[in-house]
Amino acid sequence: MRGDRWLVGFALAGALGTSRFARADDPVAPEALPDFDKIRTPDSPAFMLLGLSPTQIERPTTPKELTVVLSKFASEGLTIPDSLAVEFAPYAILARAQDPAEYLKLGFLRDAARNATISIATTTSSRDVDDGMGGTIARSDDHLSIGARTMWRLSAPVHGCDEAELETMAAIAQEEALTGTKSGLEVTRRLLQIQTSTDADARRFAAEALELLKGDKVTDKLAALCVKDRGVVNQGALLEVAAAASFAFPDQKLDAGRYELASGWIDLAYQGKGKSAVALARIRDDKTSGVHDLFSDVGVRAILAKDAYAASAELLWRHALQRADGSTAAINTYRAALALDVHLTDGTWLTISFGRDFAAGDAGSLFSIANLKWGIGDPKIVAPTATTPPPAADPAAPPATPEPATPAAASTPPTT
Amino acid sequence: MPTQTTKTASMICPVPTDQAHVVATITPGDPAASGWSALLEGVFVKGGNAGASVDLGSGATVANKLLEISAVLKETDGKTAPLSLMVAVGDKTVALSTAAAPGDSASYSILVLFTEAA
Repeated sequence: MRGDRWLVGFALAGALGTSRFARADDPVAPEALPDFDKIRTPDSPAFMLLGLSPTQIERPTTPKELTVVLSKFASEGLTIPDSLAVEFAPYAILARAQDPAEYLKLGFLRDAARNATISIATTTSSRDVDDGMGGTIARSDDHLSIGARTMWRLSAPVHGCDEAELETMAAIAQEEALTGTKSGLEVTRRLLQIQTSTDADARRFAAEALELLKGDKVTDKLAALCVKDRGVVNQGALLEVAAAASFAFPDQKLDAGRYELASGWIDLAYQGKGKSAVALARIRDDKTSGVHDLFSDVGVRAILAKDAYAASAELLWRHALQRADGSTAAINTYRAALALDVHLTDGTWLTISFGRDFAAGDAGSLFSIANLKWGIGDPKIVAPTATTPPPAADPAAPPATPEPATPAAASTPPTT
Repeated sequence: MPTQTTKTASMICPVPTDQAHVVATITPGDPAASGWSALLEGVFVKGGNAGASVDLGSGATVANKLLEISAVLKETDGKTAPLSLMVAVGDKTVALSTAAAPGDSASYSILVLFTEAA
């Protein structure tokens, strides 16, 4: 099928079979929008670049823990450790703890530093090479990926109290009462009696004394209450930036290391009650074949949700900046999709989709398998991730990058 | 940067000793989030978040005693509005109010000294 062919996805079978679980009045949390973060900057760009989905990620939170993790690169000299997946926030490790009010202040550099994370991943792939005698020898290559990510909150914090905070407020009020102690009660009573005096100076003195006493009782506990970071509650606007690069070490030799992949992401995302929008740009360079294969994506996605239903529209434009020799991939191509998601249960959506993929004939293309398209589970309008290669010359050709796998299980070698 | 204001106010409130019930009505202003505690002679009587009426007992019980309504309030609706607290006992009222921006807070004490009505 040609890439410009529009395909219709219909969820008839799925809808008939499963819609009895869907109710329009299902309580869906406002933040439970389908597929919001699929066309987003990855949380762990190093893992994304190598196509890894590690089940165990080390997350050091102290300098000592970080040292222990990084020391794995220094076992009997410099080495690439097996199946390493590390993610850490330098600011959290190095900076002193801040009070919540301070934390919520906006600041470009402060946010960038505070929200920065570093991810490091390693994996091993195997390949067969000719032994010169008609047979093959298995060889192993190491891959190391290093990524960084940060984000900026573009919206001011929102205010609102939960039940626990309201209870705390009442407790603070009691704590800050002037008459909560025997001495406080007596002093307050005497000052009130002075306020009944006919002497204006005495009354002024009593009033000022009460204000001073109250000021002494007040704590700063209120500042941190009823403040919700829009980023934490998935509300408001965010700017996210990430980059990662990976290196291959053929035959697991450190001195044979060479650059193989790099990618960069930037997105501007907004999420409000029942609506979200994301604009994403990303660039990816793949040199696993020995020459640069460079492409960029620019896309937008919008979602509107109400009750148990959500409608979304997505448009991605891909431009090949530099193609590897022999590549017949289009210089410009695009993907457009409309989808209706019906919330079934927590995290499960029934999706009815309609759209055009980058290359509808590519193996595994979301829209190319059949005109009948439905899905249950994660929403099926999924933007191609950085692990998705540009359209291949041969639709049946395997991806040029490793398939997602755990570090321990990764065995598909990048083309070297 | 959010600010926190502290204020106190007081009133003398004569009550007849034969009054069966002396009731204080506490009204935190909207649209703030608030918490308050009522203490009679330093003893916690009642607390809450929304407006409420507190039965303090008979006139004979409360005469010559000191009632404090201690309250904290925080502006949470994203708009500038007063943080206010009003306490009414019978036909007497006393109130505190401060203009506040989103995130601003206030800590108030309203003191009511009960006396025996002549």
